[in-house]
Amino acid sequence: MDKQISLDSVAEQHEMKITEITGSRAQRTRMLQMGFTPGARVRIVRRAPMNDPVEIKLRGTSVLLRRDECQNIKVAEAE
Amino acid sequence: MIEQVNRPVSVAIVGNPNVGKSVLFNAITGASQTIGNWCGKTTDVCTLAVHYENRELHFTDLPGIYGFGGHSPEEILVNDFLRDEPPDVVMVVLDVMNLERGLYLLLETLERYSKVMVVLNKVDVAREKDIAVYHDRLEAELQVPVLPEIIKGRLNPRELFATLIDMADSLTVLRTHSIRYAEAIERQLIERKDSVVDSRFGSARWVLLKQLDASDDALQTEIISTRYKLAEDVAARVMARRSSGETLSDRIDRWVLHPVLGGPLMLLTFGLVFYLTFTISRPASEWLSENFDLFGIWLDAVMSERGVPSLLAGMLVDGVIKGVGAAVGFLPQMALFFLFYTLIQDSGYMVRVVFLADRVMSALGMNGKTFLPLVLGCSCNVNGVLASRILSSPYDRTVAILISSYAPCPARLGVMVYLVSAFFASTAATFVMLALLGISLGLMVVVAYIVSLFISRSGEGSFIMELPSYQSPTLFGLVKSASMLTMSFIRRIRNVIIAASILMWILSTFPLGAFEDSYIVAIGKVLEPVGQIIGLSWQLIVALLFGIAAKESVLSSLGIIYHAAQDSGNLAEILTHNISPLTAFTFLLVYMIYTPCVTTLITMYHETRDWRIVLYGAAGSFILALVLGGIAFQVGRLIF
Repeated sequence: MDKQISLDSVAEQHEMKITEITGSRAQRTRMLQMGFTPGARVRIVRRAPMNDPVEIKLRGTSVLLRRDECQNIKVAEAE
Repeated sequence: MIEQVNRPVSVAIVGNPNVGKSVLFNAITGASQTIGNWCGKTTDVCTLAVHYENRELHFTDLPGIYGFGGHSPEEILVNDFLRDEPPDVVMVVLDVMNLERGLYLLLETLERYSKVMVVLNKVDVAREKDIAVYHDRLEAELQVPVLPEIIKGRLNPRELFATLIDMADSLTVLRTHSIRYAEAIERQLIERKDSVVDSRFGSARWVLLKQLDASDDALQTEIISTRYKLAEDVAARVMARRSSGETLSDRIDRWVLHPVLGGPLMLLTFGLVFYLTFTISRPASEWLSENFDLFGIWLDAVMSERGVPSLLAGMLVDGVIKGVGAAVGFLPQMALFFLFYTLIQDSGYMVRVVFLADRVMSALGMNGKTFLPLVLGCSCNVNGVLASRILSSPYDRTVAILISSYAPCPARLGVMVYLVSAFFASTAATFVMLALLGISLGLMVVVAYIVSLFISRSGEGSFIMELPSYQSPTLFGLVKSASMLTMSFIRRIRNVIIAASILMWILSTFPLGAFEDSYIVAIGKVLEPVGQIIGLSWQLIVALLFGIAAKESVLSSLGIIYHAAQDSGNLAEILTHNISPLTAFTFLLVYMIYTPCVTTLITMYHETRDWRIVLYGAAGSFILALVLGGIAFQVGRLIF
């Protein structure tokens, strides 16, 4: 099993696979419903000035997240 | 049976945010008249009736959601609505460009309701990008009626209405679509099968799933993941996409969202918007004001000829026409502003602005989206208050509405520049001006902090949002929505402006005789003891009172009070003669901060429907002005 890290610490344009979503119930629900489900592929497209928020690609669309929200997305290397 | 046929058909429109639900809603209801209150752009629920072959269809436009999870304000609202007014048919709007996310919502809707139909939006946009979605395949796949291409005038409302009525009237209970979940979940569903379920919420299976979802995080993840797996499969089967590299939108974003250039580019864009707004609208404004004045003079002459009592004529000319004229002078600017605002919003730039500004704003304790009302408030506080609609949580909206009234608007800046240059030499004037603007920026942060002490942030929405591709709005669409916004703005303020103008006229005319004996001067004199603390004479207080009606009228009322002739060079001299620089600075400070103009206050009310917010806005800024003015004056007196 690959090491699990938070998406926030992944380099830009590097595609990863979601393993788990942490955080509050409300935030988890929203993320899951938006398609941040385990197994889905994500990559950081760019970071805003001062590294926050972050634009990520998921399911063919772009989503904007704050860094602390990004820290709740646990990922592993996509094989 | 007859009753059954004549019963209105209720249709709830459900979809992800930004799928074009409101456009669709307006297209099918032909609802030009309702856009006025921004139906659908807010979290308000909007229902409109359509007549089709002796039947009535009630369409309800619900806020955009991703699922029925019930945590975000939008989801709570949608769930409440669906429980209280169970619809006959649920219409799910899918954005072809974002199919998996839409299908997820559709799949959950199909689990919850038996009568569901689908509208595929943005099929034409997708085709341009070599993406084809086969609606007949989707229809076969999920056993639901699917209507494609409903946007851009290619809608066939008859087909839609007929389908909806057929569905509503059909007595055969359509089986709710069921997704096969993991063994553990299915077993629990069977175990709970006999528990009592409130059918107003939807199908029993969905309600039980919801209970499982709420009971355990792992189960929730499992349930949502299973639905998404199916959404992926269905999307793959109904959609053909030629591999697409970098889109035009991506290429634009490389510059617009550039880590270094993005910020300056954004400021440049807003600078350009302001510049264009003011330069283009100025001739129109001047023409309007001039003609209003001429009309006043003409009317005055005609009325005195006809023997209309001079008092009545005075009220009409000096009260109503002058007041309305001042407001009308701002209309070209408002209209143009609304045009740019719509452009910024509909093109997709607004989300990018939020992306760029969020870090700075959150450091100041505000949501990134607050940046927009704040910047737009600098073109006119009313615009700032209106732009606060982009904020979804009550807390963030209140903050945005309250702080946008501290933005230095052109009306205020005009008066300030005039007075500063009258009182201070050029270098000092620059510093005074910058100091004043710096104070107003600082105040916005302070006000945001004060609000956070009084309103709980619990309702705070999360930041997460989609970044849509750029769209090029049509000129027709832009002009249409800008003119609708302008018209609704006029409708809201016209009565208040007329009433305020008449009130100010009455206060400054009665009791008849010299201006010095009028009510407004009397009020000013009553307030003078308070004014003394901050060094303001009754003359300055009276000028400020006039400023509440319209900020720019402070100059003209100073002119009346100090008996200056019309030309302004004279006024500057008289003022420097009568007022010390310290008093002038205090006056400017108070003027910049104190109670927003009537139009802003009215807009605050219309946006919040809560007089308390208006009161906080008015009283809060008044108190802040007194406190800061007092500090400035007393400290200044010690120094100088």
